Parts: sequence; structure tokens; C-alpha cells
Amino acid sequence: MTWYLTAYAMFWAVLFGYLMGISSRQQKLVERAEELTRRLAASAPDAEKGMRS
Amino acid sequence: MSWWPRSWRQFWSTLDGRTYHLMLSARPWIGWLAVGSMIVVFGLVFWWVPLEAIQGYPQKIFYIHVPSAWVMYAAFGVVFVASILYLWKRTSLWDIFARCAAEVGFLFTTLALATGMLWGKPIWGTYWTWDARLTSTLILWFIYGGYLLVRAFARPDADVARLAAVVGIIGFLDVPIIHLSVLWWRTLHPQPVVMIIDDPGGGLPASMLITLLASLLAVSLVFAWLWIQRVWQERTAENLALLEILLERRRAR
Amino acid sequence: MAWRAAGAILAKDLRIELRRVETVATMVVFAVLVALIFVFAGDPTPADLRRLGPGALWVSLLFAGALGFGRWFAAEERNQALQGLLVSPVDRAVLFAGKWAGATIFLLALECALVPATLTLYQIELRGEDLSRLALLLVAVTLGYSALGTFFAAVAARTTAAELLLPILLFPLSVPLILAGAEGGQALVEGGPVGDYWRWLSLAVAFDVIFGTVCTLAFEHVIEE
Repeated sequence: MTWYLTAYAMFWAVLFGYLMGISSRQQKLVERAEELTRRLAASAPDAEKGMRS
Repeated sequence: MSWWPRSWRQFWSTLDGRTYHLMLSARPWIGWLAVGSMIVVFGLVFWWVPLEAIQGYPQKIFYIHVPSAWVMYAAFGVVFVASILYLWKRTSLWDIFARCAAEVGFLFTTLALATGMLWGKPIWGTYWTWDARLTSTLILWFIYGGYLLVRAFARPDADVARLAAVVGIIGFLDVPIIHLSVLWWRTLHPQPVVMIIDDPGGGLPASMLITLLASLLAVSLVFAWLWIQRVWQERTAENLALLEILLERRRAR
Repeated sequence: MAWRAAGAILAKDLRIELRRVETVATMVVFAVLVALIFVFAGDPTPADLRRLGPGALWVSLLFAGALGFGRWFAAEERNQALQGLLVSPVDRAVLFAGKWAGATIFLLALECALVPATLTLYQIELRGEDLSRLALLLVAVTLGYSALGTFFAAVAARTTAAELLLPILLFPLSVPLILAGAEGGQALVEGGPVGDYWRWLSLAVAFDVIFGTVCTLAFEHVIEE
């Protein structure tokens, strides 16, 4: 009984850990995208006409 | 039918983009199906499927061990096909497909090994035996590891994608030969006397077969979702890097 | 034309090696030392030695080879010799064939010293026919191992941890060759059924054909920038 519960617990723990890794990566990507968008908007040649990228 | 390719040439030249968009539109479906089928498998394994007569509880590890091993081979297949297509087409999406499949495949190879060991301890009385399948899984783990290390340690001036593609192709071609040689090695030798119970394969009762098939499906869906998500992240990171270059240029002007 | 180009590369490698016998000579000493240390791993009786002998031979050959491949390829990196080879109007496959032939000859030369030494240390005596069969097996395994070794030395040279990464890539992929050598050799030493020997030999030959071809074809992807 313990062996099988250990195996299942480990299986789920590893998958969950990987999922956490993915979501923290996702977080960083979103932050970077937001920062780049801000810079893009700020660096637009003439802000009135909006973005022309 | 505007999305239908007009010629084979067009089909091949846009295959990566089509695959990518198909993957993205299937992503939420795959995600929810993965969660749902995992819950079903949970119920089947813990409450429904009867205990195996000889092994008892440890036999239930079977339902995560076998799917992990299956995903390990499937992921290596994806690496192989994507690597070949990368060398042919040289579009970065193929490289991303291969890279992410190797990463997730390595995870499942580790899981297959770990669950195999946790199954072996109560049944064989030892964590590790030089069983043919266990041995070739370990070798596969090292090959995956080598592939990921080449990517991690490539020199900045090297063409990583090309290098890794070649390693992925050769690694995949070696797998059946390794398996054959390890099988011969084990069967030509007199086996040490340990209690060996074959994995229940042919004469599997219907209830166990249904549980196995359900968990094969569920774990495959989990793999597919993780892979698509990683592919999407890598692709997005690439696009963001392009955007950053654009910004630098604009600032320099 | 292609043969002459491959021959020229081979001749160049041989000439360099003959001028200073450093690599092969050092590797012989190293390989015999590995075979020696292998004995210390247990407290073997003569029967144990006979059983371990073929395996020890392949292990020491494997380690020595992994050292050698890296060095032979690193020689091309010095003074941008590789760039010189790449700009010459020679097919990459031909380039690989030349390097492969060179590595095979070096390893076979190493074996000429290593095999008698190991057989003596492990108290193994082989007679006429078995000796020629062992030679055949050695050639088959060496061909495959040097193909993979040359290829992955080029791969590892493109990374920042070449000397570490080469064995990590090379050893798992060479498992069929190690098993063919060790098991086939043991069939000869233990006087087992000859069918076992032929079976392992044919595995090694199949490995040579498959990976000789694949490595030759794929080499261009590894050395070009």
C-alpha cells in the first residue's frame, strides 16, 4: 500500500512542480511583454499618431 | 476552403505554421480534457479497478509507469521527426518543437524510471534490477540528458539548432539497436534467481485494460498540453526578442 | 577524386601522429592502466578474471578512445586548420571518411598493444581460430566506435565543455558496441556456443553500417557554421 501511494504522490508532485516552473516562466514572459509594449509606445516617433510598428 | 494548401510545395512550406496554429487552437481543449480524464483515472485506479491477485497494491503503479514509458518513446519520436524537418526546412519552429518535446520527454523518462523503481522494490525486493526494459530506459535517459546538455553548453557562435537536431536524430536511430542488444544480453545470460513476475500484458482482465487505456490517454493529454505550452512560451520569447531588437534600432535612429 | 581527398586527410593525420607518437602511446599506457585497476575492483580468482577479461578490455578501450577522439579533433581547431579544410573544395562526407579512417587506424594500433597486455593480465589464452575471431570482432567494434567518436568529438567541440560532454554523449550511444564486444569476446573465452559469437558480431557489423552511413551524411551539419 505505501509503495503505491508513494509512487502516485511522487508522480503528481513532479508533474505539479514542472507546472509551477512553467507558470513562473509564463509570468516572466508576460512582464517582459508588458515592459516592451510600454517602451514601444514611448519610443513611437510621434505619439499622437499612435503606434506604427 | 481558403486554408487548404494549393500545392504540395505550399503545404510543406507552411506546415510548421499550420501545425503551430492547430496546436494553439487545440490547447484549451487538450487542457480541459487532460484535467477531466485525469480525474476519471484517479477514480478508476483508487476505487474501481480490482486488486491484482498476486501483487496486490503495488501493481497499481502499473497505471502510471506504463503511460510514462509510452510518452517517453512518443516524445523521442517527436524530437526525431521535428529534427529531420528542421534540417530540411530550417525554420525555427521545428527546432522549438524538438527542443520542447525533449524537455518534457526527459521529465517523463525520469518518471518512468522512478515509478519503475518504486514498483520493483516491493515486487522484486530491490529498487534496481538489470531487467532489459529498465536498462534501456536508463540508457534512453542518458541520451535525452546528453541532448539537453548539448543545447545548454553550446558555444555562443555555434548553430545550436542544427547541432541538436543531428544529436536527436542519431539518438533516436540508436534506440532500437540498444533495446535489441540489451535484450540479448539479458536473455543469453542465466538469470539470477529473484522472483520475476512479468508485467501483465496479454492476459489482462478487461477492468485493468480499461484503466490502463484511460490512463494512457490521460497522461498523453498531459504531455501534449505541457509540450504545447512550452512551444508557445519559446515562440513568444523569440518574438519578444525580435521586438526588442526593433526597439533598439528605433532608439539608435 | 573523393578517394584521393579522403586519403590526403588520412595521410596528414597519420603523418602528424607518427612525427610525435604522443597520443597513441599515452593512450596505450592509459588503457593498460585502466585494465589493471579493474582487477583491484574485486579480489578475483583466475575464473573471475577470465569472466571479467573481455569486459575490462572494452572498458579500457572505451575510456582511451574517448580521450583520443577529443584530442584528434582538437588538433583541427588549432591554427584554424578546420577552416582550411572547410574552404577546400571537398565534400564534407569525404572529410569525415578521412577522419574516421584515421581514428580507426589509431585505435587498431592501440589495440595491438592493449589486447596482448589485457589477455596476459587476465590469464586468458586464446588459440588460432579464436584469436582470429577476436581480431574480427575488434575490427567491427572499432569501426563503429570510431565513427561515433569522430562525429561526437566534432559535436562536443562546438560546446564549452567539450572534454566533459564527449563521453556523456558517446558512452550511452555505444552501448550496443560495448555489449557486442564484451559478450562476443566472452563467448570466445568461455568456449560458449559459436552461434553467440556470430550473433554479436553481426550486431556490431549492422551498427557499423547504420552509423557509418548516418554519421557520414550528417557530418556537414556539425562542422559548418
